[in-house]
Amino acid sequence: MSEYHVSYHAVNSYEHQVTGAFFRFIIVPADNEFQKLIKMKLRSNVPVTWWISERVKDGKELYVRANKPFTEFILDLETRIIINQVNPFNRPILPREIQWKTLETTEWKVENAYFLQAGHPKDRSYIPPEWMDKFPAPNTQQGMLDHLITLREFLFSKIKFCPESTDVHTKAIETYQLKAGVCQDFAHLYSAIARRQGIPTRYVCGYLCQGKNYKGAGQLHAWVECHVPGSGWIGIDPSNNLMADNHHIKIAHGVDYGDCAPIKGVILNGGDHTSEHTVFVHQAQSAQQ
Amino acid sequence: MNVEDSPLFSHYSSVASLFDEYLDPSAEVRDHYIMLSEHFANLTTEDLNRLNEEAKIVFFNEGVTFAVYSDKNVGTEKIFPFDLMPRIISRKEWDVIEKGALQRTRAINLFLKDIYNERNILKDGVVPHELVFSSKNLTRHMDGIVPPGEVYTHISGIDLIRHSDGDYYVLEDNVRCPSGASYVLANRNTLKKVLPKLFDQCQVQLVNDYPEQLLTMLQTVAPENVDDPNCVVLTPGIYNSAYFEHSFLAQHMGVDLVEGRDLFVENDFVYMKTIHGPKKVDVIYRRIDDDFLDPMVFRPDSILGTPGLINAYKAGNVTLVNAPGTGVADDKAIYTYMPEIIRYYLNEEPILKNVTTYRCEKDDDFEYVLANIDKLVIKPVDESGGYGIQIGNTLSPAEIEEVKKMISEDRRKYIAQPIMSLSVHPTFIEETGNLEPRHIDLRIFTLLGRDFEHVVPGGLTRVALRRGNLVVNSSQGGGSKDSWVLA
Repeated sequence: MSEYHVSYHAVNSYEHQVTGAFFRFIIVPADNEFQKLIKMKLRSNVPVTWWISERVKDGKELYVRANKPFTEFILDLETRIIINQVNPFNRPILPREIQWKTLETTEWKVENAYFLQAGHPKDRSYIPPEWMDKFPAPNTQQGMLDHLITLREFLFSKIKFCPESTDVHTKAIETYQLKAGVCQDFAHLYSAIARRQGIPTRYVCGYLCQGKNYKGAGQLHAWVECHVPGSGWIGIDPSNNLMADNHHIKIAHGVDYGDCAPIKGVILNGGDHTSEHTVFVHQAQSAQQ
Repeated sequence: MNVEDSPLFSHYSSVASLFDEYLDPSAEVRDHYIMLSEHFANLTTEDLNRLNEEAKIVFFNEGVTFAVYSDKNVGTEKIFPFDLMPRIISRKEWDVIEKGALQRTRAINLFLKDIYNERNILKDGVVPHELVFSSKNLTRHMDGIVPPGEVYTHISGIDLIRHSDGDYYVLEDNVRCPSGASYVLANRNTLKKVLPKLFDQCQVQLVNDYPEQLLTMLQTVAPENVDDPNCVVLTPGIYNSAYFEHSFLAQHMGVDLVEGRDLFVENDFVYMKTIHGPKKVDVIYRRIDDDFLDPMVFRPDSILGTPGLINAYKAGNVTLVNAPGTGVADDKAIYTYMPEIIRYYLNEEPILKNVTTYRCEKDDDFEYVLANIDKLVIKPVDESGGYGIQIGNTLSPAEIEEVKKMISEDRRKYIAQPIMSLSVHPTFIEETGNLEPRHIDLRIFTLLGRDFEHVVPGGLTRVALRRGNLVVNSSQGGGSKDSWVLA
């Protein structure tokens, strides 16, 4: 078990006075079998009304309404989370023939449909079907987890992690052409490929404990979870070429960034604006089991 | 009685290839029309012209209007054309239609519950899962949601036509925000004012309790533990084509008519801003499309909705009528499977027939459609209001090529159906001063609540006023008739 202290700090500055604002933040760590949210504190420079709304499956949304006009909105969220040791290699594993065969069944496709869809060319996690021969193909001689690692290593070797090379609208197609991107681009591209290979994959947003020179630390992070028959959803961090472990604090998942955008708002007036956030994750204590 | 006796009917003759609602094949007035026919036989063209003007004045004074989006003119609000001669459905036929409409509505509701929860019908391969998951109107935000009373499609409009074989066919299901119920009431109200004596002679089933039935239904689906639910009608505003209906229904139910900006969400509860402070809202009869309900979840540029609304709904603190995501069931490609859907959930044979439908996505259907466009109607699967419909035998060769190209570019988006010969009904034509046969259809309105079912007796008969025109939608220049079910 590890206990983490996460600080999220956001500054939104507006050209003109904002006379009404309603925000949705997806920044509160999830409560699930692997992690427990034990404390939460919210502060802002403007008086607000706020509440937490549960997502139907895994995750929380923080809604905030400003009760006074402002030109700058600062929000601080402090949370404490306990994470159980996660070892993806300790999960039950089905024989590989069964793993790959399961993907072909109607029941599996129906159960996982939302995370299997190849999507539309305008989607962030879409790649054209004719590109599939560029990537390591599923090999039934290999277990599915091994295949997912091969894919992860392949992407890590092809795509360079470059801060500010892309933005939140960048699509998987562009990432592949640029051969560069940040964590959400790796996650989108990885999802696009795995889904086309029939492996249900969801986009995950969360925090990453600093240190160890992880990419995506100090910011919100993104990785993926792949559904392996018999093993469950396995967290894979393509931009760090790692399995997600107890340094990964999950906030929520969705089909792509659009489902997990950290901040969305309806703003009255305000004009142009800039939005910045910083994240600090600190490991409070560690009790190895 | 023979119709030739009446001056108004002197030019009326049925068309051999079409089903005439009024005359039987030997040109005799059908039994259930005899009373009405006798009444009209006493009228002259001058009478009808005068009554027609009176009807227009009633509609104008009561503000019974609609707006057409395709019009280039400013001020597109129009009086809904109303025809004086009512359409009569015999009691025997109505019993079948009513049963069939309820059966279909129940099945669609069970289908929606299944699609957003267990998905058994897809696992069992009865409906192809690819079809459902590629539907534009499916929404992930409904996944795992079971609304109060397990009702998704509270208000449905089923479009029925009678083909030349004399049978009724369902042309399409409308389970998103079907409009038209207010026109049923307005038509009846107008006809009573203009031809009051008609109702002395004929015993017609009442429709004017619809707002009451609607309100009762809304109250049955309030969230748990709400004793005296506050129901509202949510409208996109005065520019919407059905704004008249929104205000009419709110007024006749005695509930508030609100716009998105009149509501706000706090702690996953929805409140209405009033001069006495916030008032909690429990049931929203929303006449806003899914996409515009909540900018946090659907279209971020929507200013018609209320931010946070969907989460309040998911938390079970407010009921949306109809539920979001019901459009997956009226996708015209899924319509093809409606007979299987009815058998799957209800273990019954479908009472109302489906029209043969070709799904352009399927290769053999696609080939057939391309080769036979001139004999088919091409429809986009996800539109309503008659928008985007192409009728094959009215297209020029160049237009046919265009349609072929359009289909080939997005095959999932189009279905094709044989050109159905809608039945005809005597209709007063201003230009000629005569009653002439015009094509009609019938929209049936059903209400579904918690242990509550209601079908509006008669529904809305729409009539294509231009000779030979098959599209009856009001948005495409159609009019309507009062529709009678005899008591």
